Amino acid sequence: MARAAYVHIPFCAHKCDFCDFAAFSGLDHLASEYCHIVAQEIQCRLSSEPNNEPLSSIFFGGGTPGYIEPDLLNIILHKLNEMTPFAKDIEISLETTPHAITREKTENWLKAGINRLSIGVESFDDHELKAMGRDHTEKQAIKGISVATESGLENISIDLMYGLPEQTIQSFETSIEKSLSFGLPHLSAYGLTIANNSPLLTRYPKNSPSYPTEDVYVHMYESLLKLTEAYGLNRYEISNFSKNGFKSKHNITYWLNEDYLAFGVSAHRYVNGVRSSNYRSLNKYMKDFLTNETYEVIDEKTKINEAVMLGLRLKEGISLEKFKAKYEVDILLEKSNQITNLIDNELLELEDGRLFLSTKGVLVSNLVIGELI
Amino acid sequence: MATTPNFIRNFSIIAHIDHGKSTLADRLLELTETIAKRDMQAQVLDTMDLERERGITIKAQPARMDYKAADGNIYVLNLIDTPGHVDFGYEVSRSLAACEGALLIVDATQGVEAQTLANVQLALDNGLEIVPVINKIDLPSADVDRIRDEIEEVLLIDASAAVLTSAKNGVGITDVLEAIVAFIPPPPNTISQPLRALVFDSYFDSYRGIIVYFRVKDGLIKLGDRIRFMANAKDFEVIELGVLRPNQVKVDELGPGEVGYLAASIKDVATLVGDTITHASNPASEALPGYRPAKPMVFAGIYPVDNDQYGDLREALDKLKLNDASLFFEPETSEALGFGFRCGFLGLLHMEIVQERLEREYNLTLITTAPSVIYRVTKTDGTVVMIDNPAHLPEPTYREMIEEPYVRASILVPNEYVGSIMELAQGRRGIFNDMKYLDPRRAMLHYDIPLSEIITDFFDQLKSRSRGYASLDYQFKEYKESRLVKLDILIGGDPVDALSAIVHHDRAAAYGRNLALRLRKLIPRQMFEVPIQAAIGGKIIARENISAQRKNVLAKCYGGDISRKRKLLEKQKEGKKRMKSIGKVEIPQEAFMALLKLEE
Repeated sequence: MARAAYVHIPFCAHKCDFCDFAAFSGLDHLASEYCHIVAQEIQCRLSSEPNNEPLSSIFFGGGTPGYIEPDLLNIILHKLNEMTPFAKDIEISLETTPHAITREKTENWLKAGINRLSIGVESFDDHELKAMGRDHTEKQAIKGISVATESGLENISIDLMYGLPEQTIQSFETSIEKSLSFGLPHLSAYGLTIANNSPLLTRYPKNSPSYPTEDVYVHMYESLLKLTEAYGLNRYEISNFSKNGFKSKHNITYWLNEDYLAFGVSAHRYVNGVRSSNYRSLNKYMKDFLTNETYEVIDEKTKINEAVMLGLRLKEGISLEKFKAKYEVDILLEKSNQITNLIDNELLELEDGRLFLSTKGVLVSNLVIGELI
Repeated sequence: MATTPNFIRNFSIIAHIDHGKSTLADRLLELTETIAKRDMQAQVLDTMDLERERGITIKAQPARMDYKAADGNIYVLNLIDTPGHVDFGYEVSRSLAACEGALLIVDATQGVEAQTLANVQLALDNGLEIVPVINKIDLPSADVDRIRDEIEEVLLIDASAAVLTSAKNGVGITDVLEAIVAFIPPPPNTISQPLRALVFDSYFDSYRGIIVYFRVKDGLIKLGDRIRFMANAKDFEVIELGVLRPNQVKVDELGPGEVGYLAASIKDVATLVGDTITHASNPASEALPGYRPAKPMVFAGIYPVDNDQYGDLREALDKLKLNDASLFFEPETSEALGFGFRCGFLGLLHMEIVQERLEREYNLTLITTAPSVIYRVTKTDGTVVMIDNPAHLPEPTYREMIEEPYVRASILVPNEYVGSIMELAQGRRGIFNDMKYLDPRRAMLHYDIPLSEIITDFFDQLKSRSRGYASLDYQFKEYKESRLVKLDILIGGDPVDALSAIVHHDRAAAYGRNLALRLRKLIPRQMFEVPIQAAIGGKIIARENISAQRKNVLAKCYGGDISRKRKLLEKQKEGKKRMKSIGKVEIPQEAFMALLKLEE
């Protein structure tokens, strides 16, 4: 069984207009104190719930964990290692913006044990980057990626986005091609989701003609599938592509509906059937890092619904046998009408005891999942 | 002790909607200290949430008040509040039959309205004394003299002594109470005669059984009496007796003219309203006249979205019927909607109210089909059938003739809108009868119009074309032959019987196109393409396409997103519960009512 830990680092050089996470710019002076508090949180939580199973993955998300001093990350990693053993092949990922990457930092990251980078490039088109309020350019992105690859780190992923204002099929295809040209083993590409209070909406309201139409959006996803496949990257989740052996171990924990630990402001954990989260307010969290902002006991039915929702995100889908063993439910029997109907409509496929979304089904997966929960 | 009839006054209130009836009732309750000021809330007698939300009265809710008059005597005043909407004329007539008099409230800025005319006529037919009250005299546009003239000329009622009030500001309320005492006659003292009490309402209480509201006409009823419902020929023992202040207060006996309620462990009695209560041991020889049963004019299918709720729906309709005698229902089946009921209503508002009450009070999720009138169809073999469901219309080859109900519509409208209203009525196949000027500013138009045209959006159109000033009253007139055809709707290639409509031949094609277009807008996009077709006699006359939904996906779902995204999907699923699956297509409730709101 995998054991995963998520650590949230909320600091950023600049808050992007579409960002809906606990992320703050201009609070760099709090970074050191914050990381010490996260270490305290780790100490408290892990000593109250001892578990000797080794950690198989750690994920520094944000915010921009790559933006702060690597030594601060090291404090957190040290504490984790002090409290719980690490698996030999542990995956330690770090999210960063491309222009936060420097030679000095990459050296320190490697020293600290970080062995996977996820670089938020989002687009290689300056016009789009500006439209979405990013604070870097194509040139800076290319430089950052180059520095990372030169460091000797092999497991590097690029994040792209589509469905952006001002984006065209052509410009997105160019961004994909540029990402692939680095020969990296992993790519994530996310369709833009806009929160209702997003500052992006002031410049590009939801009905703005600057957004791609539904047909263009669908075309973009099809381009993504085509280009990544031609390049030898396999889609293993709705938005994630990798070479063999380079899937994100940490993220797969979520989609297999397994437990995960979490530390830091706004971080969500799922432990022993309970999903809870820390305060989203940085101020509150730093004063009171053990109090839950949300706390939800996941009952059996909800657990099953989540397993369906998450499992279908994976290309390999849901193993009916494992599902039955884990949840004591034969979903094929339970939802036979719906599943037959979905298969007839080529939205769902059933092969070798696995239930998974067809390519067509991926784009309307909410509807498909809706039928099955 | 029963109250001496001389000191009883039973009255109801007749008013057009929005003329201030519920507000005046509130003031009367306040001034007589029936309800302490601190317990007062607006529209006290409108007990249903629905009534307060809509600002209308649906059910007649009785209230007993004690009033110390200027003459030094204490009078018992029984108010039986009445609904103002045309659909509920039946409720009005029930209330009136229990009273000796009525307050006629007229808005000092608006004047007499079409329905007021009809209700005053009802009151006069019932031999009631009418006390005119001119309300809203505080408004700048109030014109008391004009309204007084209008009451005299239009209603032929002496308005010289009309009481002037502003119910909102509490002006003239004592004058109203004094007028009730002075002008409304007391009930006759018939205490020595055998008991006869008229049941004017009832409802189901899960602890006490059916609760009966009645007015004693003759004799005396006591706690513990063995009583008989004459029409039902069933006997019960009175285990609770009381008056309504307006909440229930127990008493030991009630005499002639008094209004009250009783409980007698009554469980399964079909229709009590209109029945006469007498004593089992000393029965009256003749029952009271009772009520002319209300005739439903509008019919629609009511179906549970979830077929498992069929039994619950039947039970709910049974209970609602106790409280709403004008509701008619019988089981029916639809290929598209499964098992449900064909229900008859007094009008569109009544239909909406019933659906809302069923959903709210009985926690059901329902689909109501588009309303239909009853068609009279003569078949080729000479037999005549009444068709209240378009899906059951015999095929053209078996039809000799279709007749549809026409109503005589009275429309009261300010001069400047007459042209626009005439255009509306003619567009709805109305046949012009006459036009009279009530006063220099307002005209009364009379049209014969097919009822089917009234029950679409006629009333809404009437209001919007006259900036809300026109009012409407109508009564069934006759059946008349019309060139009608059946319009069928196919969704995803399958005919949906619940969407069939009977429409006039000349406008069938336009209707079909319009309906298909509207359905396309109302039915959300699905996982696959859905064609919508309109057909007449098997010939497709219109087609629309709902394209398949192509994009509905959560791009990201990591640890922090799972709960939120799951809730999103659950919510999407909840929304779908309110839709009916027909074949593979999910159809929302509103789609079944699409016919009603066709754009011109």
